[in-house]
Amino acid sequence: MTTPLPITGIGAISAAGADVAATARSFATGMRNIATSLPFVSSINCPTFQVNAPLPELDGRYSTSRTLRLVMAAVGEALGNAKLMRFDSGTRVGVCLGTTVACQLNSVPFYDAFRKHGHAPLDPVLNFINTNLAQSVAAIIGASGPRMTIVNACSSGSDAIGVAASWIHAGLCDVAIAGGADELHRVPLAGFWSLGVISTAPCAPFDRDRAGLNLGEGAGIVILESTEHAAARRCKHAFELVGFGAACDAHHLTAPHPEGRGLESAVRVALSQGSIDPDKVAFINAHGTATQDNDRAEGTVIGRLFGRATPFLSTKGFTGHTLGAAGGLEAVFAIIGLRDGFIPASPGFAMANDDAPAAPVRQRTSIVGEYALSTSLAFGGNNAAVLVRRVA
Amino acid sequence: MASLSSSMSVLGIGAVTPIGRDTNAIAGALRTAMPSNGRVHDELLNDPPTAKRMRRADRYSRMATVAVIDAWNAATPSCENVPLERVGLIVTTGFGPHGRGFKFLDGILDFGDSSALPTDFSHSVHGAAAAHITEILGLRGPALNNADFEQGVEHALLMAQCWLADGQCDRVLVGAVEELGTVYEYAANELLNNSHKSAPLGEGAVFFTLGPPTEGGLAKIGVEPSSDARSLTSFVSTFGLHASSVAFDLLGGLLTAPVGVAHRVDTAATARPSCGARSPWAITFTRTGAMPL
Repeated sequence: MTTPLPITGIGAISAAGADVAATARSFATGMRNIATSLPFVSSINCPTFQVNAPLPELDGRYSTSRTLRLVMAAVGEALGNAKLMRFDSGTRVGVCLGTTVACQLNSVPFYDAFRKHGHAPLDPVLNFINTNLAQSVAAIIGASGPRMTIVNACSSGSDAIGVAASWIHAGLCDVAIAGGADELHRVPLAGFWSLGVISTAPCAPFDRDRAGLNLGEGAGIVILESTEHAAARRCKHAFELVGFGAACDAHHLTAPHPEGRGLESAVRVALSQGSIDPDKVAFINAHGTATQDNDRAEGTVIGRLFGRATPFLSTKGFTGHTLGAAGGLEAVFAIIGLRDGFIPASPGFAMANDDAPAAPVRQRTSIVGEYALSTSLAFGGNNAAVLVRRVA
Repeated sequence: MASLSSSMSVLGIGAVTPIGRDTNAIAGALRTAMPSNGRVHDELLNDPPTAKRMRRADRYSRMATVAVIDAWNAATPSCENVPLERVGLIVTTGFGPHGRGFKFLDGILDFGDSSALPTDFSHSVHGAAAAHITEILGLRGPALNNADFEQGVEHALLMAQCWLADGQCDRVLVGAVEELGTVYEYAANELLNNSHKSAPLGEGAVFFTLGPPTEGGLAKIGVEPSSDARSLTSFVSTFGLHASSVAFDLLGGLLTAPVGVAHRVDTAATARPSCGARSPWAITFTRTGAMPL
């Protein structure tokens, strides 16, 4: 068993809500905040999930990155929740954040000008370099510990939580800010469209008639602390990170292993670290993108490991697929479910395939138990599982 | 709290660089300070065993894959009985597969958002190289990709230390890959000129097969806090400058340092033409055996 790590703060911003409280209200009402127009010019027409709330104003170079402003909204909320608005000089604070959009120089106007003229103003390049996610957050809040920007595609946020936990277990930092962030952007929308996995209707994870994903944006952050550090500042925590697992499919660049081989390994590692059997898991916040391949593989693993007794849902119907933010957001959502004692009906789901080994919840479902699991699958065959526990 | 071992064993090295792919040739070239044009020769990336599986891959993924395979093969004797579920992979980069990313933008600009090529998109994702590597080698442990302009290599090595120390992995393949695309070359040259600096640009991939310190290996390596950010070793003049230059400095140090002497590799300030922060981490290594050159 791995020593549980106190989770002393959470922060979230997405189309489901501008903070944790607003998100919980969306879960309670089942409201889906679906946008029918894009925030940028594109020939693609499809629903998305957008953040309309005002974002933090950042100084100078940091102001150019929407992803950075999204993550700072969630970091600020999480640090406030943890009552860590300032750090003692001796506190080592790590920053580990996942993203997909913020790691690529995706400025179409810059590249268009470069193609035409062989040169172009370098502001987009400098903005890209100077807004590296973990580096920038560490600089803004004055964090002095390790930092990493994880770019594991759609499991980035979950993997970032795993990395941060390893840092604390290894004694490399006392506090870690972990999760992920991504903004809606024209280039990944064109990319997922090219792959034929964008739905022109609101997404329906695990549904028999699912037609693909909707993109979203947001940020989800957890504050992890060493037990010693939390105790020293008399911080009573209600949740713990008790397990994390990651494993590769070794199967295909874009498609998950059809039997969910890597996901099963990741889940088993997380459960083993938490020293619990599958029947102790109160609910699962599944990755559930609403693509045919993802939901088939993930449903297979859930059915094989948990049977039909463990309730699960995909919150992508509230947020869209937020890519690098998804793992961070969904870890927070798992905590919200444990805290509030229920999970909402899995939005968009109506009818399972006849041969589906498991189906998500169709109605608001009370949660009995201490543990919740959040799963992530990604391009490249990455799989991750985050296991959290309610302790108070 | 688990204690973090201060060192790891270097069990194998794989590299594809502007001065070659064979570590023997690279070591010889370093000793003679052979100059290079900063680019990896195409023929170094065409491996018959992987050619078919890599036929859609770009230079970034090819460089990373051949370097990892070489590092894995070089460590074969010590890895034969290691389950593939216990092998981790960490790929660090600054700019990632930007050549393919701009090719995808070509598709958007030439044909519209809804008509760009899916293969260009899937290979423009940072995890593409790791996907090829894990599929070809059958690795089923954890895999991480990190994109950082500061200390990316140091943090990747630090993470490998964590995985080996906490028992998640028995072996970790860790290293860096950078591609010298035309846009990056233009931008980096402009930024260097604007800051009145001059350095040759480069590309390549270097990976190490690492194991616990109890294993034998070629060297012991570790990452430690550093309050003194000197640059003791720099091979930028040979390998070229890019965001992961420290990985190539480590390669150069390992290939040229005498046995039994501890060395430190700090991130050279010149490795980051546009970033000014200093690294609080230093890589320390000690050659414990002769390189299998």
